[in-house]
Amino acid sequence: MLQGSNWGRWLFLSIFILIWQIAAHLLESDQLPGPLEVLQSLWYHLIEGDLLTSIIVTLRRVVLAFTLAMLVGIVVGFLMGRFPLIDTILDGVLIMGLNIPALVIIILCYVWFGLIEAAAVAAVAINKMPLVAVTVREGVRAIDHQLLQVGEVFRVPLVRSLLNIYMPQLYPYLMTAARSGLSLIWKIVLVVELLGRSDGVGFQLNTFFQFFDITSILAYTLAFVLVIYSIESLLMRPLENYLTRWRS
Amino acid sequence: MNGCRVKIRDKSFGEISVIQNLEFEIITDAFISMVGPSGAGKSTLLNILSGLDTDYDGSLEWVGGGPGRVSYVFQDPRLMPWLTVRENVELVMSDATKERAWIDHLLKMVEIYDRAEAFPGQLSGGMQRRVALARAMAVKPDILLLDEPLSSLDAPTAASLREMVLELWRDHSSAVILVTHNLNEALELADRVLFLSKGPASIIHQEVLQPSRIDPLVERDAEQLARALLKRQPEILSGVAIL
Repeated sequence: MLQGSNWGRWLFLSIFILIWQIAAHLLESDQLPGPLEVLQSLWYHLIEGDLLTSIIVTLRRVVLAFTLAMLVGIVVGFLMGRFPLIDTILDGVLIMGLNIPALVIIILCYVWFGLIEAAAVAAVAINKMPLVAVTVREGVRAIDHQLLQVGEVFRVPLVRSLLNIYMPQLYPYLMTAARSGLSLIWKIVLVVELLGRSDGVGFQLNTFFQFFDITSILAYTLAFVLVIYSIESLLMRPLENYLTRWRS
Repeated sequence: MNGCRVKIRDKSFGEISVIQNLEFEIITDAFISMVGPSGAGKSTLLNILSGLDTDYDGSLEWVGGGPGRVSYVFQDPRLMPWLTVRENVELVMSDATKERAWIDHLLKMVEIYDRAEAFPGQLSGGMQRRVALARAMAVKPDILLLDEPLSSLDAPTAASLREMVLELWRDHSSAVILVTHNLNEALELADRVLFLSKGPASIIHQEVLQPSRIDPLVERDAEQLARALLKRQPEILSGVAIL
């Protein structure tokens, strides 16, 4: 069954690349380079250019913003789910945070704090935080109080109770927040870099854009997608499988 | 612990009084059954005894030393689905690493030792109850509360679990309070049966059974006891299931 679904995935990918190649061949335009050209460009940027440095710089911002958004989002979401008063107070801010366009937050952060690294990271984190908070709040609301009573009756110490009774109920929500967070954050990081940083993948894309260098843009995109895909399949998915292994 | 005097003058949820003027004593080694119609506040009473519910008018007076250790087998097993059988038992113990032999002993007693590394989702309902029983005994409680632990089990599974409860009670000096709506079950296991009225709950009759079931040789014909009791005390009939 699993092998069957993998087969399907590879088949789809092959057909996609084939269609891409045919389309590029028929159009013969600079605006749609073929897959082979993109791969060559990727290799060139990797060996001769700044691809690796750019990805490292961008990834560093992704990790920082991700960590910050998760930490603050979890605390806020937990408090909102646990205490109705805090929920009432912060609910309006949360809805606002969910609906303000990412671009507005980025511009405001740059204007208020200057074109500095901290402003860039903060802008990304602020964009993501409300989503984490909402997800965690739902998780806390869905906590099974009957299981908490077990901890209470048997006087299970606080830390042990948090790790073994409370947190496992939140893991599915935390994983959802983390996975959706990662995909959202790296997209916003590129915008932040394009608008106000002089390094990173977003900055490079902007440079290529000015020269209409579509091949390099696609090469960079491919490289970054591969990196994020690796994080997803080598870190996030195994972690999720481990945390929910009792379900199988 | 030598015992606990339970005095509940009133326990209400909003306007509705669930328990009124309910008094009884729990002594070491007691096996008390509480029988009453559903909705008679039996689970509420157990919540008070376990310390989960402290919002009532009355007191629990512990005789001989501080508050005793109370453990609880809930109506549903309430195992952590993400912990293995062994981890579920270890979770409630103060120092599980030192008491591995004790855990093994309990898991063997409830015949679940060979599934110690399984997750609750991989076990049948009867097995899960046995794990809940082992977990409750793991803390060596002064008082063990059982809230209809045998309901919704098929007859042979219920019978074997009844035997396990008796065996654990005989081996370890815990007082047991079993809440049930099954008269036969109450009469078969306990040394004292308290009959509760329809809500608000209070004790309408108390039946002391001799000789004690702590002697493994004692055999009881619960059906015959039930028939005789109902002839003598027909008022307890209301809401009691005779199976």
